[in-house]
Amino acid sequence: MRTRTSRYTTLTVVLLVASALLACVAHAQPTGASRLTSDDPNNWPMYHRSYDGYRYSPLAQINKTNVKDLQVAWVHQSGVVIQGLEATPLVIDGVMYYIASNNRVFALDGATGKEIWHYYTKLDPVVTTLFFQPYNRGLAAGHGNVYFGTLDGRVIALNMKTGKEAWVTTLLDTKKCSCNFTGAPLVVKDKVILGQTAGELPIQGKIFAVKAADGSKAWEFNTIKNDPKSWGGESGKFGGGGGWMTGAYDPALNLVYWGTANPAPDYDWGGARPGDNLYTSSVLALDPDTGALKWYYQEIPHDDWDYDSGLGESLVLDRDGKKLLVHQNKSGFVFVLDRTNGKVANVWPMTHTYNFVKTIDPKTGELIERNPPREVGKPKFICPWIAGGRSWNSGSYSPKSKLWYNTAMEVCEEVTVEKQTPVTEPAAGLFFGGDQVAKHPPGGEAYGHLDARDPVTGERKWTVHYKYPPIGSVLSTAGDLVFHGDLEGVVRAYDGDSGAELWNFRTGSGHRGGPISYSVNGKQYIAVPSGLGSLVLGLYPALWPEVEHFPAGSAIFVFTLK
Amino acid sequence: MRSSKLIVGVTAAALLAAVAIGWLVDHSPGFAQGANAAGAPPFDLSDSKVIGEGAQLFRQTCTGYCHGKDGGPSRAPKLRGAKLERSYIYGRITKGSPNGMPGFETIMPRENIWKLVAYVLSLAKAEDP
Repeated sequence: MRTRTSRYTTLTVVLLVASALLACVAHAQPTGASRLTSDDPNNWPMYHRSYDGYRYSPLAQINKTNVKDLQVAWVHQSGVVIQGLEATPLVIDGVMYYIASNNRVFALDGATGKEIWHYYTKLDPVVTTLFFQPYNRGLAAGHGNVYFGTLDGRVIALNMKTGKEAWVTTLLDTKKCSCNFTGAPLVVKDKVILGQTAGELPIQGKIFAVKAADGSKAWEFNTIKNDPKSWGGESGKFGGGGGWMTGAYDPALNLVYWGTANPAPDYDWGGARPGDNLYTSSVLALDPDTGALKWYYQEIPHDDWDYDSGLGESLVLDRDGKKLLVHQNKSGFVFVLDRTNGKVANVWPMTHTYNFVKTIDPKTGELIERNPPREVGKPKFICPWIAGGRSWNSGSYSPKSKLWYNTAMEVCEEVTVEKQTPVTEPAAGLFFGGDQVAKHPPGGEAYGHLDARDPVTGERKWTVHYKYPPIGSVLSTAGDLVFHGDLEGVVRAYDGDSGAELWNFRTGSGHRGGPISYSVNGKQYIAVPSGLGSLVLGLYPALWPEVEHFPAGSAIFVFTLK
Repeated sequence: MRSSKLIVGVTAAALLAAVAIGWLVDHSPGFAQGANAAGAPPFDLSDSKVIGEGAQLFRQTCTGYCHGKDGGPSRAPKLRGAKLERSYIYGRITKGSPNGMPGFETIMPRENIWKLVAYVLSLAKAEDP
């Protein structure tokens, strides 16, 4: 009897423990890493929605027939309009998470917009001395937390349910380096990966991984190679680089693809940084577990124009048995690489306005007849401008239409190179090595466009013209729709097959962030960040003076069917 | 009872005064964050050499993206042709602005800030190209 009671007791304890464990697992699952693989069509669980970087929603309730009936479901205001709203929101299990300027983070009911919690980051005053502020491009989520890099060099994890700090890790000495985090991190397995700003600073930019569980640093990768052949003299000490936007991930190859920023100084007056300046303006394939470099491809060796590779868009694409990576460079050229080894498969231009090279060899990736601004004090006409053939906003690839919907800018500039001594005390100062002013292309007005193209060949199916070069990201959906917002504050839905405009709505401020789609309780929503702001926007009024007065803003507009 | 009324009255008056002072500080054109700390410039602000050095510092400190090349049009206020007080310019450069302009007080020597002031003052007479 005594033995039987003891056995029952033991069995009961085992069952209780097992139940508790199961309950823990069940509780953890909704925000656990396994739910963040974009398998659930209702969610938008990471910056580009999926590891392949497509920014494509498989939802089709809103389609070409009924998109005309879209109406506002709710609007949320972040309350800080400085530099607008540059982020792409996340939605997981009906809750929207987004980050605004000054590192304000919100959790909202995805159906109503009602606030669940907010977290206003207490920032170090050093932030007010920085160039890269106060914007942020996005959050990451997983393991029960949302993660973001801060304007003062930290990574913060917030509990997804409560908004309370789970952990805070300082990675950068922002007071010294004037560098910080503005791009969305990427959660890969048990790690949170993010890169720092550095391209215009006399420092060495890095990419970091911290452990999602406690924020402890797992690895860091220095984007400035310690190699005197690649960096003559002491130039590597001030080489810039970094990886300020978000990468992509291929689970099958277990590789993270991360674009790096330009070298510093941006312009080389001749001898400023002898060598090819690895690993700046490159695509890196890193082992997410260790940070080990598996391969790299330098798109712009010895970058003379600030055409960095850090725009944050890498499409993981399989075609004809080939594992490809489609990567947008700021020069406007698209590099199609074999993502197993970094070999060039094709190179094609998104823009037709360029003179920084005659062309780029589509077979080898070689820059043919480089045209660098080198002569000190003498303005040189260069295309595209420093904002790029495209900025850091992303296009969207639809695996249904097999088209890549991507924006481009046909704008030139006049660059004047100027010798500059790097300033590192008391804090790193900007290190451009020259300045520039926007110019119209030869024989015409500057403009922008949204194209539907084959991502591998560049073949164009349709194009839409914009007076002001657009800087907002693109969304495509299984409803055969393409959403994109312009500089004047109008978001439009296009027919993904023809480019015909099917719907529009004026949000009142221009678009720099990323529209998304999600579903709650069987109802599909389109969420559009609206809020004009951006460093590159400062370049526009030289060509379009009226842009100086385009209103800033910072709001999420959410639309659904009537 | 009387003493509690007195405390409430004094507290309310103090709060009102604080709010009023805060408002005045916030809205006074002379406040210009740091203007009082400017003191006298260490050199003649109309000296062309000083202005030239200020222009170089201006170019190296976010021209184009911020105030536009040579103080031309941008999203930040256009400086060409702008009639601004010396102390106001000094205050803005040292402390920045709530609209996003960085403050340079802790990262730039005072002498360089005055060179920038000299350059910005010189832009008052500049005409658009």
